Amino acid sequence: MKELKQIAHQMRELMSQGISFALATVVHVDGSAYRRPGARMLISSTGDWWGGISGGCLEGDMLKKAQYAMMSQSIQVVQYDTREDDPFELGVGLGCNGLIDILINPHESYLLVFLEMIEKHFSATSASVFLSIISKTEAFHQVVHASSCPSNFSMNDWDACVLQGSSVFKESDTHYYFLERLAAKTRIWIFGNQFDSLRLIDQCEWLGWEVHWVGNPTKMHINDQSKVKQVYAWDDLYEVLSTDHLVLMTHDFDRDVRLLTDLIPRLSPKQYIGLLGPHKRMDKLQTALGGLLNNELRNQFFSPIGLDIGAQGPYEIAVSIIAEILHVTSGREIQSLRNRKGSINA
Amino acid sequence: MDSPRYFDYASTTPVDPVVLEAMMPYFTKVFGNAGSGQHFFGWQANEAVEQARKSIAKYFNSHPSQVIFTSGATESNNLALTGYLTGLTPAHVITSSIEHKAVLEVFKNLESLGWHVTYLSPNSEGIISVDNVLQAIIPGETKLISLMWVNNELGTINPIHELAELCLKHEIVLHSDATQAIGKLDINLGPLPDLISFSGHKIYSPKGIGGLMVKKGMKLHPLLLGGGQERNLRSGTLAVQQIVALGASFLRLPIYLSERDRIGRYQQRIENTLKTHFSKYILFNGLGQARIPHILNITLQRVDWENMFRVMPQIAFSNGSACNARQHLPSHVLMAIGHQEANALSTLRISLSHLTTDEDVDFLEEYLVEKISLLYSA
Repeated sequence: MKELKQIAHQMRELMSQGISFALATVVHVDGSAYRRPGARMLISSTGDWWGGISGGCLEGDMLKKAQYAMMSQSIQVVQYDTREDDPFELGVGLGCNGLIDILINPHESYLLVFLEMIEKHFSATSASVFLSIISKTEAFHQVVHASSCPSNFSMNDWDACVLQGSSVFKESDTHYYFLERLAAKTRIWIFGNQFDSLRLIDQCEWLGWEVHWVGNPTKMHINDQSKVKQVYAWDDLYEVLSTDHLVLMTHDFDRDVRLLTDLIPRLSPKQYIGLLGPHKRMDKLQTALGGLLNNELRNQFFSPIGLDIGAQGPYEIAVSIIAEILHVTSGREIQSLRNRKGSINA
Repeated sequence: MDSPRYFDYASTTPVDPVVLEAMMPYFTKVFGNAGSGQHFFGWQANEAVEQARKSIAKYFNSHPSQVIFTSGATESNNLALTGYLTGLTPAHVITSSIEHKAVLEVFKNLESLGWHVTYLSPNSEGIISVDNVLQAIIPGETKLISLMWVNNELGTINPIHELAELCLKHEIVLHSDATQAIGKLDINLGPLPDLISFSGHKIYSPKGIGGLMVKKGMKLHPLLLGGGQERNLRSGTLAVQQIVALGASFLRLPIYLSERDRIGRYQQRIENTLKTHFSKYILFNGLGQARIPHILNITLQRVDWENMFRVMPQIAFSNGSACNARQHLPSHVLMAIGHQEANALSTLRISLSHLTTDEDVDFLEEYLVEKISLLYSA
């Protein structure tokens, strides 16, 4: 999401400077590849690029192919196949062992529509399904919101896209079709204005997460405030969405009691809520909250907060909190990928 | 986005419209097989081939029977070297480390067959001197010397006429890959090598045609066996339209050569501009007296070579690196004249032609100054 936001930002910048550009999109992957369908790379006619379509092995070649697409004003679909040990194929020797199809579109008519669609998505809070309809013969393309299964796709395609976020690429004699789901933006509420919360804010900003920061505004430095979406005082009224993540790091027991008294009735099932502090503190909190926090609901609370990765100090603790949120929201088991059976992406 | 301007004429050239016009009838109207000696269509095609052969032979002051048509300079080099040395008892041969791969790879193969190969190193200007060659000759043992006439990356000229004299005296066969020399310098100012390779697409003919000049009486072994076309040296149906084009290009060589002074002025202008702006940062390669005016080779020190290409999409140039899809190797020529790998990669080869215009050079100078400044300001 952060990458796509950067791409959108750069597209606007380039347009304001009158510099032409092309967008390369990973539309299909078979086997192992660093990036999944939907990954994008923006390439300007001045030779700069943003985003990415691989782990670095294909970008150099893509730069040339995109320059060619811009110069010839033609849509290009490029395939990199590293499944067989062909020394004349790009990517062999890097151990990718996969096939990747990339669509390069230099047409302003497509880029403008796409940009407007993703900008709308960024301001929304839910996931969106987009269908790009790209003409092979004309510079006339469409990007539309898909609210039901489009005619060229099967219900299986649709379900895979909507439920699992798997993009689907189709081709007819005249058009390319790319169905993709853009995930909802990740929103996090950070309660507390001590210096450890600042490190978590930094990490979230780096990831492109939208931060809502609650604390004492007089203790929240203007530089740190600039990194978050919105700042709230302790007593402000605010709406928390059911998909938002909540992290309490107030270092103030009474404050936590007051906050939880307000938050618990609004908590959705499966919503992530983490609290800084040892088990003992959590026990004490449960006692203080009385009937508001029963044992079943307490299972939803992550306290002590963070994954057990040996994190020390505010910087590493921020990483362990982020890792825990990713683990909880993805539903994936905690282990090294080398121990995972089957595909690392499935 | 505008199409870039072309400054890579040493890689290939567009087909000269006059050449194209000459070859056009041979696609459709005069389509016979030059080997069909039984009917009119074959006779027509054969006549065209022989006319082209005459034009080329005349240019070399040679007999038409000395001209062998090939698919290009790579095949000519293979035919000259392997064709001559096959059947001889392996002994000693001499070449240089800055030859084209189409020569170096043949010598590598000859080494595996028992030949002792001396690879001469160029001086810092990229030239192989007569003294250098003389010292390497082993009397009675050295059977062949192969040196390129003009280096494709540096534009430097080897003393081929002097070497031809030297080889005659020592009874050693001299081969020269003249791909980058023909059309860029007058090669008929002295004795010629026994074997001369050349290519069509560097002199405004289409790709896929070249030739080998073979001294009269010299015996070569064919690489391709079959119908025995080209005096049993190169089997395969003759590419009549390509051959016609090559003949037409040779007739046009005096016109291309007549533009040398103008191209030389361009070369000087570009060099002076770059020296004025970037003398502290950049190195000029192959900057001696003996060079063709068509090539400029400049090293941008401490610049990331990928960045170099990235920031200059509006000009087509090369860095002489051996690239395939998988890897980018630094130029062996630049390494041979003493560059480290990073500098060898961050090198620009700009190659000019009689087709280059004042406007092209104005654009190029301004663009290079702007973009190289950018590279050094980062």
